[in-house]
Amino acid sequence: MSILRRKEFFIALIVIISIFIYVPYFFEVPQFMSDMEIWLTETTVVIIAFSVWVGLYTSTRRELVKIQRKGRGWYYSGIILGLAWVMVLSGLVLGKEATIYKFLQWAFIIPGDSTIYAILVFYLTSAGARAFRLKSLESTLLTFGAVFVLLKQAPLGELLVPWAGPVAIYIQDTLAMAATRVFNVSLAIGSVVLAIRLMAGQEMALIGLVRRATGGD
Amino acid sequence: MGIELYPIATGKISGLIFFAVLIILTLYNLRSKKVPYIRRVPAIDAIEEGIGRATELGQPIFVSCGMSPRGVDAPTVAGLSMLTHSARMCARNDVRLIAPMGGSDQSYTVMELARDLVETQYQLEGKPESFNIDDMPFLSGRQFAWASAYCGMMMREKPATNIMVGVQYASAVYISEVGHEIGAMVISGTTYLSNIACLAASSDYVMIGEEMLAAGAYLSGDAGQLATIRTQDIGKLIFLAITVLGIVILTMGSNFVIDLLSS
Amino acid sequence: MSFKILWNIDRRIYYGLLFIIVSILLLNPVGMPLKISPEVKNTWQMIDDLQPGDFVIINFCLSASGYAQLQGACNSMITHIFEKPGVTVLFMMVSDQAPIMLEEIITINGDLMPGKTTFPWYEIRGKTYGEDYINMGFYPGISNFIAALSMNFRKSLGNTDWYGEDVTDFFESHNIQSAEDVDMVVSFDSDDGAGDFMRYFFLEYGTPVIQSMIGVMVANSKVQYDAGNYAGIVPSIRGSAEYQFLQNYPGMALTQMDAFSAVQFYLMALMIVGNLGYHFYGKKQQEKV
Repeated sequence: MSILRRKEFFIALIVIISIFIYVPYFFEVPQFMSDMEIWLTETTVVIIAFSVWVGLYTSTRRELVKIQRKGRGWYYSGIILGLAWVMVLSGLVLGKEATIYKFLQWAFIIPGDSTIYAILVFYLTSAGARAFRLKSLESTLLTFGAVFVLLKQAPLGELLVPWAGPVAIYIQDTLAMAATRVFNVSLAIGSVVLAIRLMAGQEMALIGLVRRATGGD
Repeated sequence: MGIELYPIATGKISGLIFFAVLIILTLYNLRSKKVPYIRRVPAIDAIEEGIGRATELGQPIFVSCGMSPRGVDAPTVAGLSMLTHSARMCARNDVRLIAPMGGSDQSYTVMELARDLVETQYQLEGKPESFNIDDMPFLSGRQFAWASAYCGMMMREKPATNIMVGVQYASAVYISEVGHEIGAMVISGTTYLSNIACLAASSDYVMIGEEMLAAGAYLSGDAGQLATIRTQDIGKLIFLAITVLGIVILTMGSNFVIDLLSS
Repeated sequence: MSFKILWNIDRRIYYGLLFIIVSILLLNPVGMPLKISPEVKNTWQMIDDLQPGDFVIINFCLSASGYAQLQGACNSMITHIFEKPGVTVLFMMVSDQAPIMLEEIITINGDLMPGKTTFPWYEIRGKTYGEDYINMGFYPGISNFIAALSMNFRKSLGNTDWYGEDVTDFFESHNIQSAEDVDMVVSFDSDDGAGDFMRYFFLEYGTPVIQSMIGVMVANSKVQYDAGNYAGIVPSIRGSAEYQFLQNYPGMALTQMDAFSAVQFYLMALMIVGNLGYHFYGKKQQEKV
């Protein structure tokens, strides 16, 4: 079997790259290791840039198949493909200062993005009406904490209820801060342990991929 | 003023020691044969409940593995573990799995990995013909365009359960609310701290922080992997001990712990 | 009032009322007084204390949705930095939507240089393009790019700007060769760009990092600020309004504060309505089941 398809190859690749990233971080190393670390970091930037083309190719292929089969909503696929390729081609051929390129950004992307984000406030109000119930001690504390923070955040709230400000600041600077720091520490430790499990070939995601690459063994 | 110890880089000694301790403990625990006690994580257990619900109702489930702009990072790996587990359960129970991909520029790379993983699970369950790549469409590399399309699909397909685990931003609240509107059970999990409160308010079950990162090990049932969750707890205990020691020593007027951690 | 009605209020009524309240206040702002928070005041002071010769990186990790919240902060903070004599500025973006937003900011606050007709040749508060500031544009990768920038500053940036102009002279004339030459980083974030600058610039070289972030990121950023990892924060639209007030820069964020207050009170009213409906009707229905 080709070495490129073996589980050991994937794990060895992860371990070798990890060594070149971790060791220069913790130790004073020869120049070639520092250069390798910089090269690996810069290479990922290039890979990320090129991965956009992977998405464009995959999306185009999928939408074309949908149009060909006249699947449900196939005309939307046509619109998506049309807009996407007009944007790509206008950017590549005419440049990013071209009128049509800027028009597409200002007319579609930016208003669309902003509008959908703004719709969130509606969903948050209905979520708030549903979630902040005085059902138990914890939910009561949560609700009162939320009320104090809301009063402090709103300029009108600070005007009408001046004592809510110091209470909200206390909640944010002590209680919320402690919880946030606990989260950050736990997440950092969890991420390190997950990375070590990956390098040891024990993480489910990697095992799943490797099984297919090795033909199910 | 910290300690300097060549060839360790300046200011990295304590970090190196802690990192080394974590590596040794994790590798040691991976070899463990004894299944340790791990408390129930309701959100992870709810996944089976959700898939059971989908089986009874004859409805599909929706799964999202997140939209990290950093590609395949730790939360995305956790999300992929959830997706893999869900795919295996769906294949076993003949439930349709829909996993719309997208949300960030790096979703393209994650998508290819996710499709491979899901297809593998269907093959391992002996049902390769049940895998439908059209049920894992790439919707958009834009967060809100992806969320809009995701919600549209949910409104049409009426899933019994929606599972969103990974890097979930503001759009997850949007999706949770739509899930509630259509009567779906919503299970979510993210390490993006800023969004946890919103998800806790809008989801039925939520995995907070490292519960999600430990999910892969929790679901595997493997003694070794479960024991690595214990490593995380030991790490937290070490931090707790250092914190308490630091408080006491600083109160006594000494900067010893600060100097030690700065070394 | 029947509590059954409160329990069964259609969501569309919530949404409709919210839309009406916000629309009225956006179109007819009242002008409520605004208290300045210590964090924003401190950030304003830090920028005001910039000295001639200082080199500032202004980073945009901002999508269009975040720009709606931080437009006020972007305009007022950038003009504040540009008003400081002798300070050189480098714009960079790790979000692909940001270049066009920066062009809008420049158009609003600057004028075309004599003899020039298009980007990038704008003069902002006396600072000219190519001599006092440059725009290096978008770089993909966020964390990966910022890590590369910290390790190999000049090579990661390259020698041409976003518009293809050679900017080698800019770096040479101001003696900017490595990440250690950066005196301050200001990051406008809807993702954690400032966090990466904090890890790769502040922790490595001690470069102060200021973050202006969207609302959902405030809790985490405040922790970093209180721990001393961030030198300053300008949180969300409220911080934008405060900064505009301090900088005496009339803008949208100040106008939006009335609607902002109204939404907060509306949310509190909904919480009361939801609880009344739950305790006097919904809970009993659930117990019957």
